[in-house]
Amino acid sequence: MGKNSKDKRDVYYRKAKEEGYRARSAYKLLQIDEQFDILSSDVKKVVDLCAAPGSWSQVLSKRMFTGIPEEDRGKKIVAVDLQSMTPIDNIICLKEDITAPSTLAKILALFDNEKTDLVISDGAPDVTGIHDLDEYIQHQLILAALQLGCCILKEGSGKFVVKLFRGKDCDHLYAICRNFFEKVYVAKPRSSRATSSEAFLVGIGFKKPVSDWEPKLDLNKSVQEFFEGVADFSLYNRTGTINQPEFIACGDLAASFDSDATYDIPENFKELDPVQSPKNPAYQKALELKRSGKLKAEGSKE
Amino acid sequence: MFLEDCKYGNSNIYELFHSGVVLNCKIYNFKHPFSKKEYEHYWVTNGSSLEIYNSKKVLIRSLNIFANRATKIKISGLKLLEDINKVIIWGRNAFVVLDIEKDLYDFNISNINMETTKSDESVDILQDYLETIDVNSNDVFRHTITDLESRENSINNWITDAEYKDNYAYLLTSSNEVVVWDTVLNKRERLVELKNIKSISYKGTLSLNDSKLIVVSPTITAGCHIWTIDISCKLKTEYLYKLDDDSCNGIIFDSQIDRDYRHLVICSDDRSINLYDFKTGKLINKIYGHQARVWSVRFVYDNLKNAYGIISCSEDCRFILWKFANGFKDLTKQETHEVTQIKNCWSLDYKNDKVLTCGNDGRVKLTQVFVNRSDDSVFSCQLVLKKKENLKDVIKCGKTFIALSNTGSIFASHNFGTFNIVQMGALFTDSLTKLISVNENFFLAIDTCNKIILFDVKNGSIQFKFSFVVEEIVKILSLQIVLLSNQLVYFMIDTPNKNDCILLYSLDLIEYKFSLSFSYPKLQKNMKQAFNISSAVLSLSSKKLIVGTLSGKVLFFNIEEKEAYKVISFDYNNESIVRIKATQDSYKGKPLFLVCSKTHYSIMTEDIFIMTNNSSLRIDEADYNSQEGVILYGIKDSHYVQQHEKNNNIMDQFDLKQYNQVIKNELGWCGTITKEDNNIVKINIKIFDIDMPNNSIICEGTHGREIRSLSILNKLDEQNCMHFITGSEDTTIKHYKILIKENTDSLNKFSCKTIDAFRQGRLKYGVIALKQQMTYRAHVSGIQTTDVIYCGSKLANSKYLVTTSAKEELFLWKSFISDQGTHSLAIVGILPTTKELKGKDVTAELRITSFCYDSSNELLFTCYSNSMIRSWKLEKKQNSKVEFTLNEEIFYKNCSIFDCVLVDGMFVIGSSDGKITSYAINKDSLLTLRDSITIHQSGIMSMETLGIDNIVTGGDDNSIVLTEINKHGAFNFKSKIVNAANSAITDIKSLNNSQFAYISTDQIFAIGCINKFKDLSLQMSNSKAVQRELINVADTQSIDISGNFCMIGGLGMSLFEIPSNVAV
Repeated sequence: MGKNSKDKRDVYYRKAKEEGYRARSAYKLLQIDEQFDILSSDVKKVVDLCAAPGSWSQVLSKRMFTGIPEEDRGKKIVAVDLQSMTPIDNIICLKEDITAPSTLAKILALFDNEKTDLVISDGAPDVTGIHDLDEYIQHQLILAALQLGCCILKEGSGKFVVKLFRGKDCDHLYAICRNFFEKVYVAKPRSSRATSSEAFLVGIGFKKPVSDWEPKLDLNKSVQEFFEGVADFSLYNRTGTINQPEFIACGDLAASFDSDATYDIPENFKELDPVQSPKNPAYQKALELKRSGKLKAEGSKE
Repeated sequence: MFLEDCKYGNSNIYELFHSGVVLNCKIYNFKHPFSKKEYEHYWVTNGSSLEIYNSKKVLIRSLNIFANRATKIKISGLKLLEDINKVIIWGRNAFVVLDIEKDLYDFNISNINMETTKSDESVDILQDYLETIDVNSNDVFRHTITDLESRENSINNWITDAEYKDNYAYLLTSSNEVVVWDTVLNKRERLVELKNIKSISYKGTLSLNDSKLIVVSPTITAGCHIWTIDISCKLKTEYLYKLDDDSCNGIIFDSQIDRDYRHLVICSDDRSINLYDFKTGKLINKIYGHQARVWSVRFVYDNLKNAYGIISCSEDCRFILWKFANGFKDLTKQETHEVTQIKNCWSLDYKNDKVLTCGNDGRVKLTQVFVNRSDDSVFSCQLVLKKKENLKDVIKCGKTFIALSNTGSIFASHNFGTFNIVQMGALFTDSLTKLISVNENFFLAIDTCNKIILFDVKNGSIQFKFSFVVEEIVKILSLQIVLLSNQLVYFMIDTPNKNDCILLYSLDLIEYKFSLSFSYPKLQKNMKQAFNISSAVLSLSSKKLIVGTLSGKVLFFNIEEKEAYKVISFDYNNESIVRIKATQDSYKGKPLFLVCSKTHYSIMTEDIFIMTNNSSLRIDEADYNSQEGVILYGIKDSHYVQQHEKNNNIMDQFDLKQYNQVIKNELGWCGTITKEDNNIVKINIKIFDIDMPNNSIICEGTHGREIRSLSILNKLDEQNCMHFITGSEDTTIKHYKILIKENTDSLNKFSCKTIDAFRQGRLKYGVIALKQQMTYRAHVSGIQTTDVIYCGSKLANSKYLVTTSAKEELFLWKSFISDQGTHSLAIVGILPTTKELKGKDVTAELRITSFCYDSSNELLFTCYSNSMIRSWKLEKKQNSKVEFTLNEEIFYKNCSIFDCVLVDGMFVIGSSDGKITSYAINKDSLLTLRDSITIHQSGIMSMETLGIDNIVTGGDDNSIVLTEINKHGAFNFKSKIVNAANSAITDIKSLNNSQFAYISTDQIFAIGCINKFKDLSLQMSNSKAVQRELINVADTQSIDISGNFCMIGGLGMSLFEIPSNVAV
């Protein structure tokens, strides 16, 4: 979240800054919850994947802990990301790889070997601009989240929320995910722009496609190998028009803002600093060189 | 007319043309089998097709490699193995191994001359398909002549690189496994992998060193690993090393090992390029040069096969040629070329001093670089000056360059030699102040005493011819040549005294006679200040003199009248008119001029602008001819560039970085000086030859970013041409001409059977050529919508193009056709913004999201992202200009309006809350709310009227809804297709009263229809399968239909032939 430029355009961006959320995506989770009640009171153990900068964890922390007496809680939230995260109340942060068995072991240990009620992920990989590659990598990330989900979700009641982009092969992904849940929905929160292809896959009631399937994380297995025998990775495997997951728009429009609309900025609006600045981007060195005028210089040395 | 239902066979749409992101390009040395001559061919991957262009840049072959329509895989990579005559082509998880001679250059099958001498306008694009018909369904299937579908194989994972040897293909995947594929038995032989490197890789590399397959395996989280597979010894693996962890940050996008296995080079996210010692994996150097992510790197060898350096290309649209220095320990930047528009130069190939590049904009470009030789369009010479002597002026006269120093010495240089001092005698040399080139043989000089001297230049020797003194004015400020007519040269002399006149002189170059033709007062009646000439042009046939001034005005004179009869403020910032040039073209019989300021230019008659455009560079000089259009010269990113405006392309450039000072830029050349010791001045001169530019375009492409909207300007005309425009996220509007030809029997001249089968197939049309006409840079932010409107009688039933973008920009364009047949666009109206209407700053960044024109009430409706609806009255003013007057402003609610239509006298909007809302337009042209109903779960992305009273809407909720509207504006929800696509339905266009075409973000194109009961359904084939076509255009945004043709735009664009059973 930077200062300035987006402030003018995006109402949720301003709102997030005002309400102390690290990213506007917080509202997307709130609106998904509004519709699907994914954070119902019986949800005790939650895993937030690709959690940094942490806005979804902030929502979890607020919704699951605010105003609830300590003795009634018995709740635990684990946030996992490869990047380090600024601490959040009630959240246990793990700086780990979501595909590693050791990560799974750590989470299970934190949950006293109890399975989890909910796995969420708002992660998106860096995009290159090559649509097909970006979609493929995005699907790999979703499947990596699903892979961990399969190892850790409660059978029968486990819920799963993951960000996706509705691209050319999204119904191939739907067809794979359908195998693992009683019900699968495509949710579009009002805070996500209609002009963006972003949506969220919501899986309700985790189930094993084959009852004797024993999901097992192994760093030396690709996701395709992990799901061998329980999912069909042929690109012909698509839901098509008949078997498509139901699309559900969420968030009450009357009570919330419309992310596509332009609103006048209130007169008393102050430009706030971002709640959290980007941490060490890869191109930092190149930026420094550019700022000092060295990038354009003839010399090639560092 | 209603159709009973939509069960129709043969309803597939056919793509006639596609231009999108080009990810791969290769230079291939084609050896003609009969003549044995070698030609350079250019291979390009475009969507799922491999295209081959011959050395004359004519497309000779287009092969649909991944022809399967259910998966629509695009080619992501190819490896050319020229020594074994193979090519491996892959996309996603599919691949095919082809034999270059047999599959791609089979003379028996194609029977065409690979080196045709025809121009590209007349050559048909040969699409090598064989069509077969499924007897059960009557569906037509396309096969390529090489029967590719049966040769296509797939593995489990995304392929990042491939190698081939002795009937085995080796495929590296995004999980860093190597799949060994037996191409004889057509099966997977083995999977070779290493432990702990299975994290996602965007791009790894395979290279074969004899029997050792070297694998570069980058991972996102666990570093980059180098390992080998011994393919002669049971695929034994050996781990070599991991690259230093801290040597690069972020994702690795490409790597290459040099031929001698000395170096490994990688590029990545962090904008750097890393050079490693291949044997040890130790970092040798880390270099920076690009301003964004670096996508690809290649080693470059000179013609003697010595390692020269590397070439890298980047997201920043440029490629850089680097040369090894300091004993292979360093790389220094040699050349930088901007080759792609707006975003991403994806990959490149190098052969024999040429670099072939491709990028997001689909443009494939060949650029001359100088590895083996130096640029022969640049020459240097030295000039020895005296103490305290400086160079004052340089001009070009024929092939001779003439220099003038501040002490009045003249130097001449012929045929790239050194400059020699010309002995002029003491008569005037110490007082010369300026040189002016007249033509190939003559130039003029001015001295401090108002003397004008004519010199003759022959073979580098300069001779004084004639001189005269201008007595009418106190001092000569400047001299502008305004016309060369046979032996007469006309020029204008300006003076610093504002009470003097500007003089028009003529001089006879043979008789050496001069005469004052006329004089014009510097203080004109209708102007506040005296004007100073910056450029002028004289037309004897029309007896007109057109003068551009230093303050950005253009004055029109009748030759023999003192007062200008017309004055135009051309430059908004009152900056100088850089160039006025007469063209050979005319509009409605009146001559056309090119007028340029530093920032923008126009083609105009004295009455009307027929083209207006902003420049992407600071214009120094400009030229125009009917064929090439406008050519601009100016400085961009420390290069002096020659820019072709039609193609928005840099034709040639001159690197200014190493020089102290630019001394002069004239049409066709540019000079720089570097001062050295001992009063020696080094002059470098770059010649821009318009017929032989250093860079050329193989394939034009489109925009560098997504097309947000496209509009067809006219139906297929008598010349078989269709004109259309595309508006892009990159803020520009491009205008194209596409030549489409109906397939006739005469095309069966190709004797081969397969081509005949294709030609006799159901495809009625073939695309012959697509040409960009212009890139218009009027908008400041990404284009939102575009459309053609047909106005009522108040505006003389004119047709206009309307384009909108953020910041409330809406421009009205008029299309012009010159007497020579050139189409052009000029802005004739600009919609007032809220700031202009209300005089106060608007805090929100308002966007005009949609508009529509009511021709019966002559009202333009504009809808905004803050729920505002405005209606405007349009009024035609002088010179085709149109003025807007606000008629009404209302607010719908507090959400964004996405689209609007007019139905039976009602104005209907679709908004981001999923509602459609109707307003009646009363006799005072004001809106009254009538009805509003929710028909979609989320935003209504597009609306279209079908017949008299039907509204079809496409939503972000993947659905299409049919709503009926009655004459009171009340809605009646009729029917819905819930899953019309898997993503937002971004555009709908009606084909007739009951059928419509739609597209969605997930690359679906389909045809829907309504029956007499007003049930919606999708078109089906005879086998009752719904016909939803996956198309090549990603991020699909906009559709337009004209006759039998349908254009679709998104990231790239496609032209389709509409199914024959659809009545258009």
